[in-house]
Amino acid sequence: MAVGAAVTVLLTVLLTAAGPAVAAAPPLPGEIVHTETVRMSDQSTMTVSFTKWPIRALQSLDFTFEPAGGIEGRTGLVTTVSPSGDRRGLQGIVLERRGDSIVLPRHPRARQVWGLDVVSLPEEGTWRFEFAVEGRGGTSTGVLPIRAIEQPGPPLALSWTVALTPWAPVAVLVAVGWGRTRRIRKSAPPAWSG
Amino acid sequence: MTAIKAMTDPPGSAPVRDVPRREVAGAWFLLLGYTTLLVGMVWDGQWHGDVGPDNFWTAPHLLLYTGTGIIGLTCLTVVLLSTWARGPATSTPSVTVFRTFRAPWPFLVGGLGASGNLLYAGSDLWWHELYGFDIAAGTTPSHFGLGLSIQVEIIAMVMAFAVLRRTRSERWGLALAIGVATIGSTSAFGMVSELIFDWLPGVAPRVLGLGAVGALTLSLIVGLTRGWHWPAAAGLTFLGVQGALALFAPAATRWYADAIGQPMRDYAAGMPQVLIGFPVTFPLIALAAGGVVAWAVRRGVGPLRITAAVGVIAGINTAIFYNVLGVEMNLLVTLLAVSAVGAGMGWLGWQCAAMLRRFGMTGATRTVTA
Repeated sequence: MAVGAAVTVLLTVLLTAAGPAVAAAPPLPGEIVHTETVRMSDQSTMTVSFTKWPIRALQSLDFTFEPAGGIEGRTGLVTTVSPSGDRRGLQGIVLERRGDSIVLPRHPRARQVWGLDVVSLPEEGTWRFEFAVEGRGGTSTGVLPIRAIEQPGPPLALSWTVALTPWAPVAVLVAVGWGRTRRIRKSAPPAWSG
Repeated sequence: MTAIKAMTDPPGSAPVRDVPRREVAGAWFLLLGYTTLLVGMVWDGQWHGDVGPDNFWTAPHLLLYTGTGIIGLTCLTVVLLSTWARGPATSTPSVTVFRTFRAPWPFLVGGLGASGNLLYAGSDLWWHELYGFDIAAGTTPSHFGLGLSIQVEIIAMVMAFAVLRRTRSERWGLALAIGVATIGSTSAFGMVSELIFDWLPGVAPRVLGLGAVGALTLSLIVGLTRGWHWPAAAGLTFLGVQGALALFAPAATRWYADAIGQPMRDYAAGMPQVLIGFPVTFPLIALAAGGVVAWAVRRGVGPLRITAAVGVIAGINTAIFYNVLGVEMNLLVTLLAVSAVGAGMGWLGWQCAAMLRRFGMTGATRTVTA
């Protein structure tokens, strides 16, 4: 009996533990490597998850944003302020915006939460993600500072130098060719015939 | 009717230059290769916006590489055939490379562009492995190199048709080359103008770049053909190419995403990005350019002033189009800047056309009678 009771207690504990875990199963299983919790102005929370951590400048990752209580019937806005103060710091090809804020879309592979996929923070330093969640009960706000550490790979100036160097002789050749063909161009009559 | 007749009539007894068949076929293969590349590029842009996740071997990328492969192999084949050819040398200005290979200029340029494209594609693979696939973060060094290499391929294609222009089909080939070149040049011109004009206050640098593209391609075909029909025809081919790409890219993106099990993004509305990649009003400007040329020919107004005016019109069209779309700019300042750039490009287009016409005149001619 004692063993049976112990098993029952153990199962109850496990199931109780597993229950909320399933309900709050993080989005993008196997991809999320770090999570931060933001305290919002109405005392609720926003869970922000990352597929790479620490975040390196210029390196793409996915973000998910999950307000306590879910996204149903709510609108999420985030203003991404870069370390240099650009309030539109995070670019996107076709992201919907309201003023400087990005209207948060659902994450394409985790539609139960909001998310941004394949985006990068282009600047090293501390970013500010300013959130606003609009719902029936009003708007709550919160801020998450996010540190982007040094970009991977060689310094950008070196990458640009290597990429542009082959074009230097091309520019010289074109300039020389343009000069040498001056006579041809001058000899062509500036007329519609001929 | 007269216009259509003028565009469709055979050249009659006009002298027709002898251009080796390998170069004629080569020009069409360059057009095929670049069109394939352009389809891949536009599809890739749509994919990045609507779906996102990416790797080196996506279908749009494969189309891009196939197009470059066609261009590279075409140039190699034409150069080898020119080197081994018996009989009179080609009339197209050529260069001897490594004291052995006889390379007609358009195919030397195309070969260099394709080689550059492949080299930068390799560096782009490395870049994306290191940084990922966010292409909204700004121009990358590898994309800059790719854009310039592709621009070189575009120049080669236009050169190859500029040398021809003997028959109706070859002139339509030139009009089509100008149409695809106008859409395709947005990438390199946009990147370069962002690099050069970023400091100008109140000006949208990309608008200056795209204004320069329209001014250059229109004045180039005006200078090459010296009539009103072919600028208008280039507007028509542009309309066809942009329309076809607008239909194809969103549909292909949705189909491909379904096929490989990738979900579409929440905000993917299927809006064809190519419609905002270059002003859809360009065909009207091409038609207007044709009208201005017809008027100038009748009134005896000099072509240099006309190509500059065509450039200004193309530039103004670009600024107004993007202003209506909501691109941030000081309209007055941008109009002034794009007019200056357009006038300069109009002059440049005429100068390039004068040289390219000389390209096609250096060789032997034969006379055919219709």
